[in-house]
Amino acid sequence: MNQQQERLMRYLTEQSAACLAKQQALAADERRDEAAFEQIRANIFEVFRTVLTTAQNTCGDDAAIQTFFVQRLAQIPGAWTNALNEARAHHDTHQQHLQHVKLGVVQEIRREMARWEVEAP
Amino acid sequence: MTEQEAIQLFKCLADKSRLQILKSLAQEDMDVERLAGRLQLTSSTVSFHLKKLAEAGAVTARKSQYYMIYSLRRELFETSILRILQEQSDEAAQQAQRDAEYRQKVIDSFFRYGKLKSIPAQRKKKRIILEELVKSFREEQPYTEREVNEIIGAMHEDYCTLRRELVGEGLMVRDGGIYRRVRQEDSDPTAESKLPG
Repeated sequence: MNQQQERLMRYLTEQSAACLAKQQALAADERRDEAAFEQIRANIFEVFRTVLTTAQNTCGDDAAIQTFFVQRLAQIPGAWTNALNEARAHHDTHQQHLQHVKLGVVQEIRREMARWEVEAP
Repeated sequence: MTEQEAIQLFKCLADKSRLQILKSLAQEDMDVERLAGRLQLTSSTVSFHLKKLAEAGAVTARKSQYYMIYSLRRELFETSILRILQEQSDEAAQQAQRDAEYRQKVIDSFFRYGKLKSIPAQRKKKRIILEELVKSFREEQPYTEREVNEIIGAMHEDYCTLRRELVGEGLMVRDGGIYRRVRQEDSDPTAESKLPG
């Protein structure tokens, strides 16, 4: 595992744990719907942690691992974008928010990875 | 207020963020952005809560220029809890309500945005779905098989099975290649259910 992958794995693990901690705090504060959304955010971070683990176990070199992860990061949210558009068309506020939450996590991961690229020497 | 409405309202109120939104609206009418700023929540989260509050009848919305302005439904909160508790519960009405809820739950599970996701295997659920499907046909109006196929096909690809099931369940009759919807009783609970989305 190279330094960038290690950093990504640590980031995904930490974010997932932070979401779960927030979920527990929100549930204890009687904000159960928002707690459920934090649980969903944690699940999405876990999805991409699994993607990275799979890439590391199946891809031969660092470049292939990177390509595998970036491809999945583009592919997986496709279904959520479709669901968001469908929910918008039908004024389904609940589904819209749900898909927003999931896509928000993907944006956060992308932003973080872009930041590291800028920082890289 | 029915028991079901009271339960929906109390469930909706049992959330700190929603209570905070109501407290803000008790002071004055506000739009989503203002509520989001005051409560340090995202606009999307506030919209989500407002939708729930509106469904429970706790708030109303009106359009003002480009914004939706939300107001507290004060008359609802002026109702005393004792008055809600003193309302009579009719067992038959409750049973009918439970049936209607079950029916709606089945419809919500199998339909999405007007399309049938799959045909239920369980007879009871299938009957509910067929009763919902048959609402797409006008009573007394004759339909050719092609018209029936087109109407059902817009909701599910396996229109042949569904067409046969509608006849088999006695919801439609076929006579000389012409289909008609069987007249439903006015008391039919299917009249109360609605397709999701």
